[in-house]
Amino acid sequence: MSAQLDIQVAESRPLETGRIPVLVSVLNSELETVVGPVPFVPSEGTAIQVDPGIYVVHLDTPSGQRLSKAVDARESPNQLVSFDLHALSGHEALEKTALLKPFDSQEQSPGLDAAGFRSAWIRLWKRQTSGQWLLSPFTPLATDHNRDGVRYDFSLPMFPHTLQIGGPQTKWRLFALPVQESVTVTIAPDHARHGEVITTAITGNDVAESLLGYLGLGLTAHAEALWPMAEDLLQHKFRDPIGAAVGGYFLLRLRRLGRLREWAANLADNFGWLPDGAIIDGWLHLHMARQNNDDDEYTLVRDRFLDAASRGLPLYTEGLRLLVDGLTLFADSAEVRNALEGVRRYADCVDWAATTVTFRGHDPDRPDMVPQLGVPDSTAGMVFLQNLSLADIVQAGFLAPGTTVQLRGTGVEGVITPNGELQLDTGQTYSDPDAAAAEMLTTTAPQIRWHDWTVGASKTLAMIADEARSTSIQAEPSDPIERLGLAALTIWTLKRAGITRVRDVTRSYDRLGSVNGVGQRSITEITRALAASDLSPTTSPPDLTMSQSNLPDQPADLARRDETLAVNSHVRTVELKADGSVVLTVHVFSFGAGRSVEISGYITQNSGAFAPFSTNQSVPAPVAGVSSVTVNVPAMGLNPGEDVEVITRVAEAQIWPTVLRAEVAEQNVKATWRSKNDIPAVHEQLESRSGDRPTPAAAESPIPASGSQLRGSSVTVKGLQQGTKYHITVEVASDEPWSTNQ
Amino acid sequence: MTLILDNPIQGRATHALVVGVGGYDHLPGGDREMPGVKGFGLGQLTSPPRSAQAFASFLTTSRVHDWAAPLSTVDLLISTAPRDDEFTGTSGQYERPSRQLIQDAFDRWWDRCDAGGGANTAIFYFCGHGLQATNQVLLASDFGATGNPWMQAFDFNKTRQAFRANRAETQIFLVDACREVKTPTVEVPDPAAPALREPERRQVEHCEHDLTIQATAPTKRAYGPERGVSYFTQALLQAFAGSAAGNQNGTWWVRSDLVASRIGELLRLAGGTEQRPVTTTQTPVTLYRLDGVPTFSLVFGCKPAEATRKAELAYTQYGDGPRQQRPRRMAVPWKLTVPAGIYLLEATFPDGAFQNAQKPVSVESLLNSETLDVR
Repeated sequence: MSAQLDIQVAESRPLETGRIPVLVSVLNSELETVVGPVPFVPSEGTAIQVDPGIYVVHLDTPSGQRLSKAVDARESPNQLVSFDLHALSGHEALEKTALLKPFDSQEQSPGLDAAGFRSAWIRLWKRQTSGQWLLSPFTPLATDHNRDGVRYDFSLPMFPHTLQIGGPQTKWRLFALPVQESVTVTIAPDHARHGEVITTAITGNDVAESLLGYLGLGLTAHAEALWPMAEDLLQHKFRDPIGAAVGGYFLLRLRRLGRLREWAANLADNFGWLPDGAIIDGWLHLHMARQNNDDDEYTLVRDRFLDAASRGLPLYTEGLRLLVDGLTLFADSAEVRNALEGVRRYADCVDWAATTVTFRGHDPDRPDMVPQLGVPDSTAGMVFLQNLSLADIVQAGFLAPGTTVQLRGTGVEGVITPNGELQLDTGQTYSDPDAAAAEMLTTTAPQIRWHDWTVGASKTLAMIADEARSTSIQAEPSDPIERLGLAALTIWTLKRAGITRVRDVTRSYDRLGSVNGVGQRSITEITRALAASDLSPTTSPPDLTMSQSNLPDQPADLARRDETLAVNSHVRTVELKADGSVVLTVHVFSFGAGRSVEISGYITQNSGAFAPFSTNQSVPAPVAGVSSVTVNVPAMGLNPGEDVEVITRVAEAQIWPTVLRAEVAEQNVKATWRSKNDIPAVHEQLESRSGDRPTPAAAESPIPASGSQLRGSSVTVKGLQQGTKYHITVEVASDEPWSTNQ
Repeated sequence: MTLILDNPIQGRATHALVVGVGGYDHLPGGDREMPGVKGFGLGQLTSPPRSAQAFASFLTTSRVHDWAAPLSTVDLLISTAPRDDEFTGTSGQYERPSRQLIQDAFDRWWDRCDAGGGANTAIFYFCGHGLQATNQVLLASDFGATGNPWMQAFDFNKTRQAFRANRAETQIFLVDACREVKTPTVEVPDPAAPALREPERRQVEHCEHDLTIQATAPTKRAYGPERGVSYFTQALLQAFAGSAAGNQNGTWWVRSDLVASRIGELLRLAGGTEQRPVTTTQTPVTLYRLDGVPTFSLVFGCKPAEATRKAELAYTQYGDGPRQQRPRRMAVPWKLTVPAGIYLLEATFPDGAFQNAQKPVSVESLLNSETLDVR
């Protein structure tokens, strides 16, 4: 007579977790394994035949959790053994994550509601076919927020995507996302590290994810047991290259090279956007080359590794490790050393414990070992994670300054200030609505939350906060960085009147967008935006509290300006290296030694070369009165025989874009553009942040520029007085008509 | 050479190299402080010599032939901090783990592991200062002796990769060291710390069974009590004492895959709650045979808690155990140490205050806490 153990699993969301393979083992009373590990899917359960006796049944999840049940199968021929997945996370929405990835839920912890996560944010980057990264609208299919973790469900097209997370107390990190029709991202608090999060991304390929989980835990016996079910991954590589890559790493780990040989080359050749395929194939051939001592094979290996490095970052951390190790073995050539150098920029900043490549940095192109904190300059495409400050909600535009709020049931009223505080009738201001409510009600009752403050009849601050963390912030038209781009391009276009082709400008602006995260726009859209904008027609320097000495170069201030007049930072030299990369020497003025400045801008040539650059550096101590910093720009196709123009911006700079409107030209003047009137809108924005009003102009008298006619790329204005408002009129004349219709 | 065990074995054998660096001559607190390495923010350590000695003691006191590949040699290098007076491990009799002496010991160990036809087991253990650059860098006792401090350190990842060419088919690397990123490693992101042996492009790999454990995740610290055995090493010793063992055909074997999968939990229980070990494994392999069934802690009581005081608690091991009853009723749960196995736990209430309850449970991990729900 035999007994049957009916293994069943209770789930909160069978549609999500029901097809994720788990492994079950049966041990006898001596704790000797008699069956398993055997894979099965929770939705179907499984039945295991055993001799009558006492048994322990282990259910091992890919996240490393072991659920155990002891059963007495001596008397009854059928024993129901039921496991419950609810307890893994405590939240329905996080059950899938807790089944597949290590998950730490602590009842006593405030989790993401903790102060350390206040105003933490997240944004999504997407790599273009050109290799450039653009911010992508943050539009998950579904979102679920709770203090133990925030979950986003995406459907991602076949382009590499990277999520970036940061915050005032959360170090910025980027992590690569697998691209699939279904990707579940979970961001959970790291209970061991203040302000830090644990990020996981799960594809819709349940078998691949399960395999990845067991491999990550070092449970190779479990992974091997799952392999017959997972081998199907290889058959469907054209449908799911990510799943196939997981299978590849598994076979490499276990050195099952024979199976790998059948398809690794196809994965490498057919999915150029996925470096992992080339890495797997490279290592396969390295093992083969070592076995056969085959020189041709070694050449193939080297080429595969170079190919992988040129494709960008691999998706999986294991792939990055293999790529670094592989390139290191071939680092006797300059080509490989260069590739290795590029990969190491990331490797130095990578969290080697993460499953998908995760690194510290400013953006996908700028890894940085030095932790970054705070909110990015551009909030475009950003959403807040969980716990927000009132100031950030206001600054992000979800709550207007001046809005009146009422403390429900008390008659207490307050007004939202421009800098995001709550000012009560008493005149007192609070940055935290909780604290304000507690103060007014003279209680510290924990139930007092943002929903006690109402805006209008029924909307509460809590509802506005919900909206803020669920809505991707749009690129603000008044974003000073975008304005810089518009202004720079406007001037650049004007200077190229009749020469610049529309598609060049469009392409340039696309590249500009990739830096600033403002997306792509055509020149027509730019023109339309300029026409519709309320930018000032004047080019007056900002007359706010910022001192004149702090002012940066204007966008039109190009590289060849007269050095002797330089009170602002400028580019001293541009060097084109043998490998095509470019080195700029920038003289930084008016920033004290040791201060951190952001230097960004664009290099252009008439022939169409265009490359953005951006770097953060400390201002070195001046030598002979000059602080000089070096900026490296990757190869960009500069023409050695042609003039170069560099538009530079230095961080903490005030920017004053100018829009000039076409006017009727006077006699002997072919065309005239005159700046629009009034104060630049960007001033308004900055004023509202600082609370200061502009100082009236002390005097308005003309100051001559260095020439009555602007020639070349720069104009010099002497004798400016600090604190004085100036209006600068620029008239542009050209032999050719300026048109956007080419 | 400091072979604390030299037991020639015919055929497959296990060879261990154990390094504990607590005394750093040129770091603050050392006998010959050098200003050039002050910026690393590192000092003397008291845990590594004790940890290395504890691990080496476990090896030398284990039953030689209970290793899957009988234990043949153990080489131990130790340095202690100048003011570490309480360390009575007669450290003076061991070689000091300077970069050169580690290199010499490594080369000899390599040769021992490489000999004998390839079925050997190699065990490398290091406890001391570590830093994280692209790779993990481990610091020898003379770190900072020269203007280029990296010359007195070694690149662990490359060393590990190179060792795959050794003929030992089972390769175990245990690294109990921090992986913090310090300012000097930021400024020199890829410090040229030479590997103990550089990996070669054309090397043929022989490693069939890999168990590599780094005690903590990149950028994180590894911890130990002052003048005590580190948490990671405590966890390792627990693993080899039976917590990472499984019953195979009536014999309890410590297995590589069980060490890898359980080391995190064992580390947490030992006190290293902030550490997350990073493991790399290949095909599982049995390592060490226990001389009996491992024993574990079992704690059980009733829910609600007040029922515990009124309950007569008892347990019976399925298979061959007599029923054991708690000598007297107590308000606190019953704490026991029992052999691994499946038990029937019982709570009976002679006064009828609650309904009797029983529950079968398995005891197979270090801590087992159970409650009987009663009404």
